[in-house]
Amino acid sequence: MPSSEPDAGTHVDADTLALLALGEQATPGDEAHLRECERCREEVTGLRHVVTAVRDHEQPLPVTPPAVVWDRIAAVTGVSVDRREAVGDDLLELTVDAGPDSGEDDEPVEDGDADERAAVRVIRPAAPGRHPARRRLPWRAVAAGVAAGLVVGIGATLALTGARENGPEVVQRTPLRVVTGPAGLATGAQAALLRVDGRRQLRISAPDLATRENAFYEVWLLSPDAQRMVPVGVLVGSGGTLAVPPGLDVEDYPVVDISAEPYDGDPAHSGDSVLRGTLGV
Amino acid sequence: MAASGGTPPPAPELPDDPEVARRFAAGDEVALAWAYRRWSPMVNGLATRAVGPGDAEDITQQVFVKAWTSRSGYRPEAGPLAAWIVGITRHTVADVLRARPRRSEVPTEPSLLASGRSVDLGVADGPEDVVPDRLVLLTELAAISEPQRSIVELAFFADLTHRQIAERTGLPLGTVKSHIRRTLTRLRDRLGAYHAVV
Repeated sequence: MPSSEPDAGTHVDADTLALLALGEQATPGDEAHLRECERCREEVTGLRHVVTAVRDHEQPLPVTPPAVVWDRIAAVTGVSVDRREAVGDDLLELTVDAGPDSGEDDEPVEDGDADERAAVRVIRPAAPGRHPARRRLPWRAVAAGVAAGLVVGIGATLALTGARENGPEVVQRTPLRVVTGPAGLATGAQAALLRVDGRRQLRISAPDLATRENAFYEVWLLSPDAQRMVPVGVLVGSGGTLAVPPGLDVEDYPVVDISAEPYDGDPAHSGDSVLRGTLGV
Repeated sequence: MAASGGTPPPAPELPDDPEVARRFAAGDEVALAWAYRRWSPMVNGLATRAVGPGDAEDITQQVFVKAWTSRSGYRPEAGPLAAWIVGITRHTVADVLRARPRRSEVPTEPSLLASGRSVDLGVADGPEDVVPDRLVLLTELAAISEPQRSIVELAFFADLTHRQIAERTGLPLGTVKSHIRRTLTRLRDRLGAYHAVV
């Protein structure tokens, strides 16, 4: 009687099936088995559906709302709980109506002139029993690739009322996550796309980025599949503000990438990406 | 309470989804906070795609307020809390879209719906239209603990092979392979369970 599968003992290893679903290369033996075996084929197809969906840039992403949305929910429903149960402790807030008692803290992005800093007011949730202005958030660093699932979305444009007329307007921002290296490499690293006087800038903050002996850090904007890339500039020290080329459509190049580049005079991307994040699309 | 030096304690741990659902149904206020923490990115992502970023936050707020005030209508036995909250999201989005001035009829193309790419959630029919798979999967991925989560993120988004991931993370090759398999399988199963109830 014809069978749709070979002998039970000769199926492709389960771990391997998952790797095939990710697009890794199959051995000739595995390929031959898959041609014969419906069961293994179905397993790969099911797992491949997951991979394809996750990588499908046409489909929507989760978008973390700003913590103020929780505050409104709590106010309307009247629930009384520790705010951190709802918002965790690793969200950076930019809010419009910061009053004098709102607990302004030091701006995390180090560069930029005093006027810009004053215009971008950073409010952090206050821990109970602590003076809000003294608190530093313990950013959790997560070793990961492109942070496609964790864009901090605060809308396409956030206008800062009370800012100077030509103060910076934050268009989008993203945490930058470690691509290679130990998890603690870059705690709290982030990138923000700003609009100042009608021109766009990319502001990078990476306070824990380690200095390298024979390499410098370069900032790029990549297409979602990382096949096309635009160099933005060199990152000196732990942060900086770089001009974004005026004609560049950030929706085509939403991935902020920071690479370690050797001093070899080769302008191409070294392939050694250190940090990445995706601006909200 | 006196202010002390040093770093504040880490944010409280989030319990697993079934516990959040149980406590939510029981009216435990902290469970609303947990549900928000867990699923507001999904709700907000859905809303952003359906109505744009301008109205998305309002919808997110309305959804969680509605979920709380009508929590007696949720039974954990009937299905996951996430799916119930998505149902509320669909209705809220539909209301917002209905209230908008209609520019022209939006045809419901079957091919768009089948791939989870529907834009107008208000007219969605089958389970695959309710929440695009990517949104469910990335939301589930966010709840997976380390190092599995990072390993799989590197495979998904940085396109690293399992060998490269092992080199980068310093984990044994076999460990990386089995984490990948178990996590992918888990994501597939969670997606299937989601489609089964919605």
